[in-house]
Amino acid sequence: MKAVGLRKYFPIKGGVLGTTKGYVYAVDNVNITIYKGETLGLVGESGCGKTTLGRVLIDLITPTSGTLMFNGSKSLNNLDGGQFEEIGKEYSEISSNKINEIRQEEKKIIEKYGIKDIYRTKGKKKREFRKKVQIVFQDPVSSLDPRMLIKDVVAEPLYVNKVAKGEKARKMVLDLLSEIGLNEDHLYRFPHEFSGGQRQRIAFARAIITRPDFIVLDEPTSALDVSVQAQILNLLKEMQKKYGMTYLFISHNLAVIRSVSDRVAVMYLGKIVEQAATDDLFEFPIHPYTQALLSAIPIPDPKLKRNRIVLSGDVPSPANPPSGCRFHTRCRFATQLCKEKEPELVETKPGHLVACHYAEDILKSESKLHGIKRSTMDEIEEIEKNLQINNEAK
Amino acid sequence: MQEISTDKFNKEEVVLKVSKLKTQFFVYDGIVKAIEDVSLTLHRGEVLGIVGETGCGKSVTAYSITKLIPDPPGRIVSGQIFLGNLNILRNIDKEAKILTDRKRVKIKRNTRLIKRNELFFNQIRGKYISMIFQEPMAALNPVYTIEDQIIETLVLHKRSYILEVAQGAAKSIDKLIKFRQTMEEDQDINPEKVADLREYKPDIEKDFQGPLKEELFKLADSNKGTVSFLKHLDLLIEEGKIYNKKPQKYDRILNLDRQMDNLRVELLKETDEMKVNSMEKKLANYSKKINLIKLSKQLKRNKKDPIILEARRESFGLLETVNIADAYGILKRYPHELSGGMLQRVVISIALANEPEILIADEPTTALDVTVQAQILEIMRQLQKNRGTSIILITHDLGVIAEMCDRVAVMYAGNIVEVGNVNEVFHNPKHPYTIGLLSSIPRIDNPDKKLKSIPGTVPNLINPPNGCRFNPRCPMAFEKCRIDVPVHIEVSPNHVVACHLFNGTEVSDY
Amino acid sequence: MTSETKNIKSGGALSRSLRSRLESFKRTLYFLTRNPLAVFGLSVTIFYVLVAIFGPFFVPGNPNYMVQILQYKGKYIYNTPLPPSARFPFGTTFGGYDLFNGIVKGARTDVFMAAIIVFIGAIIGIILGSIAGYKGGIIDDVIMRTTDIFLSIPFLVLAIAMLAILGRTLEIMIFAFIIVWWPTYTRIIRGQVLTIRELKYVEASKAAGASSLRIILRHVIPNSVYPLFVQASLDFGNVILGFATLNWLGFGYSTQNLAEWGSIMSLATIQGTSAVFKYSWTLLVPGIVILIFVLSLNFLGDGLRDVLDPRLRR
Repeated sequence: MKAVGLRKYFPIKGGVLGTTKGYVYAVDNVNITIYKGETLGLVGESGCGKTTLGRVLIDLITPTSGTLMFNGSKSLNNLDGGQFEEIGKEYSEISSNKINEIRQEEKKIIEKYGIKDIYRTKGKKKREFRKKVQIVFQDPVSSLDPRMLIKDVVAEPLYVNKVAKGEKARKMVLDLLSEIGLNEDHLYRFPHEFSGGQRQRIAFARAIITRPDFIVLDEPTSALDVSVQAQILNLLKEMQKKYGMTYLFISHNLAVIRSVSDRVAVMYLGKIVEQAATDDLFEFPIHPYTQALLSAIPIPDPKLKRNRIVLSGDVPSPANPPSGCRFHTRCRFATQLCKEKEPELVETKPGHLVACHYAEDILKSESKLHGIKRSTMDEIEEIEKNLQINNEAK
Repeated sequence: MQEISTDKFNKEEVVLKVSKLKTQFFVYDGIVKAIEDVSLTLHRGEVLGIVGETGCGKSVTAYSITKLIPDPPGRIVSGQIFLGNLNILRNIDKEAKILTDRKRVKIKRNTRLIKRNELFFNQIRGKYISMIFQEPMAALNPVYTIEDQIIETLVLHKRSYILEVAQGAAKSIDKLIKFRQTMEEDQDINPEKVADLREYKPDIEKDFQGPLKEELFKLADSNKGTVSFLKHLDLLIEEGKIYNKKPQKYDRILNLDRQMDNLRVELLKETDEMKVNSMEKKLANYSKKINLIKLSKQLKRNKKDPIILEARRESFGLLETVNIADAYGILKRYPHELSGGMLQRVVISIALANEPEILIADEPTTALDVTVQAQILEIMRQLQKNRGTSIILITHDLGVIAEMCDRVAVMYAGNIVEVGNVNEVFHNPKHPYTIGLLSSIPRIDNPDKKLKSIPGTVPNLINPPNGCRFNPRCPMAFEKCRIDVPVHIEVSPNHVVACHLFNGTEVSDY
Repeated sequence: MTSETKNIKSGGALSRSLRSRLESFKRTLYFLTRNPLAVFGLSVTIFYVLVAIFGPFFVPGNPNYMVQILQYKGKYIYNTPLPPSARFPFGTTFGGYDLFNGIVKGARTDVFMAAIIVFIGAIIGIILGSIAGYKGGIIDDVIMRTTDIFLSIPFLVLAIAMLAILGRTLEIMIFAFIIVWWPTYTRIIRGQVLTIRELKYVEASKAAGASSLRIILRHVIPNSVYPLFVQASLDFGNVILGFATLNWLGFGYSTQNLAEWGSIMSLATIQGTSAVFKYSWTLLVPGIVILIFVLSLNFLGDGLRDVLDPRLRR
């Protein structure tokens, strides 16, 4: 899947006549490529736009602008993205006129290169797309209709896409349920009779019953207990191997992301700020936000106490993002340049993209403290002693 | 209020002892045996973590300790909870009779006794035990400003201190006015003195005493500039004046509050049953007299009452202890205007306003972002170090436990299965459930570790398994596990496990 | 995790589905019986409904029209009500009508008409409310403003006007009531729909590719009708009161002898209000009958609301 220039702005309406007073810049000019069979992890804190991005990628929410190419479309292989540079530009002022302009531009480029943009397809082709993409939500409670029996819940995609009906559908549901650890009795029960973990399995079964190619997993285990989480994660991996599916795994829990993803993208206030192979990102994070995020996570080992980067302040509102680099208000390296100019996502190391003006500098300097590396108690004490000396010197 | 460093208090002192606590919920489908035979000991200045998954009973334990179990459908059935010498579950069995002989359980309640116990406990909870919850948005009332909510708790529980400050202001009002004058003059005449407000401490020492002196010291130490100090002085002077208009009224309230404070302290030490009864009665009556509705009306009308003025003044300083910038602005705002992290900080400041001995935190950071969580945990740790508060930290996040806690208790299906020093439990786990739990969490520092899950699901607590409740899922289970409930055995110093795999003597203190 | 359906292991797909739903229903019923007032309300309501359906077969005369006794024991009783006695359990009223007879038949009229009105009103409310709530935008605005207009008309005035213009028959009365009643249901359903359409299972259906119509019919409506039950049971009583009021005021239908509690009440003052003191039963009997019914419906409605409140479940 390849998406270019994705934007989703939610208009904020106010006043008596309901005029648009501003926008919530949920997803702001994101380019993303997802390879077949991989698991791409998407992390960020609340308000960063990862949930919206997930939904936009399967056209559950219509984006404000952007192009999406999917699976098997010839254009995917022929294009290298360079043609989209014009659309993928930054605009400092957004108004509804500007949005229209952007859309016009896009249309021209799409026509010029003959790109099959998913967002602009309709009818049968759209239905084909829908059969091939699915989503699993975070909340096991509200993701299943409380008035429907399980057999109907899981079979619904079959009815809707006219894949199967009646007895045939029932058999397909039964087969799938037994693969994920449930049995025939469970068909005739209501969602509230199941535990959170089981409900997530049911939601997952519903998602894969039409054998999709691509699944967005939106925090699928965040509401579950730790031991159940392990079960579900193992199940997800198993099923992915078996059916050759591609996952977009959205989570704010970095430990989980590390254990399931092949590549990881970090989002902050609607933008991707860093993207790399998993081990690379966790061992050598470059963007200051990623570093802070990694250092904030408590590690379940009382002997490891790391040096924390404690960010000041709270996450700014996506309706009113800071100028220039969105992270500059909380960044410990911020300069005047950061306040004025927005950094581009650049390949700082092979396969490792960073959106920061000082990415090169940070890469060169020692970031020993901020990767997730084991440090022994002696090392820690040494570091702490040095810091104390520095503090006293002040 | 002094700052206590960890050296100054006795770490061996037991502040809370829970013994064989049993809480059940009576519902349509049967009796939910939520917690069974739970015992805990909390020492002064210690952070005790309670970890477990959904349904393990950790929240129920916390709510039982603070007696917040909703009745119906729940009841603390038996057990003892000691605060000092006082067992707050003294007459729990007299509160209600549970008849289980018929098909549906029937409960006969002695409502008078329940009411009295509730009124009495209102004087204990909030003063000695404070609690903070998971959802900061839900903990604060959306129609009152932050300031009013802080004031409410201060007035309810710290009124004696507040009145003493006000009384001090009233009695030394002339000295206060002179002090204020001096400070104002010093701004022009003596600027070096004004630069560092701590220079005024000897003057304060000379002229004032008691809680008023303490408050002035606090202001000098925080060194927030003369403008702020002068504002505080203005408030103090105003309070003093209003106090002096009706000194008998406020003196009377102060005396009553002092009596009650002394009573409370005595109560925790008293062992004589008769005396405890009469003290409880007195406290229950006192609790009745405190009129919350009147207070909220006063707050709305912004009444000029020395109690409220002083509480307003103190709420200011309170927010600053939790690192909130622009405390004055925040005070005047409403809860919906603040972010989750900010709200949780406000909630923590309220919980610690009365300097309780024990703080119970029920998943305080689960609803917050990871970076905000780091901030909040930092604050909690600082406050605990500075004041020597004991904390019971309840969470399902083992990382938080490892960071914050001294000791940890692992709960499963309503039982404590393992408890001990946090290093011990993490690096030398004994109970199969603890081992399973530790191997099922994805480790950010060890990514190649395979996630081993514990097969099966948490049992139904209406019909829990016989014997050890973990036996259906335990890879090491044998015959005895299905029959006998395991007892708590000390396997190494300060490390207790409840599992048939281990032999040893039973302990009841853990 | 409860296993209320643990016993359903055998049987074909359809019977098992039905049995699951039956278990669920039984549970709800249990909760209802916890509330003594609701039980009272439910039993009395059932009693009234039974009387309404079967009663008129057991009393003399045409099931819809009241029996008029002109002579009794040789005396001409047209304008002299007789007090309750063995022969006339509720007594008689002005015009020589047997009260017992009238009340029983009136039950049928009142209950059936209220049922029709509430039912049709609810259907309209569900259709319009779910469309308005789900689609939003301008459709929502149009429907809701129309609702507002209708809600601002005092119903008695509208009913009287319609009866005056279109003719004073029972059918017109029913029509007038429906017109006045549907807005309330529309509002309720729309409110529910607004909440439900944000829920994840609706999104999941959309992701699977379901059409809006399917989502509305299969997901939204079944989950949003709960408050409607509550309102409907309360409205039953209100409709009957409305009917009674209109007939009492004399603006109701003009069909003579048609049994209806309100019109029976209006007979009590046909010779001037002071007559009531002398012949109190003529007013009290139908009045108390109405009172008990409406009260029971209210108790039932309250009970239903407590039971169906999602917070109290599980």
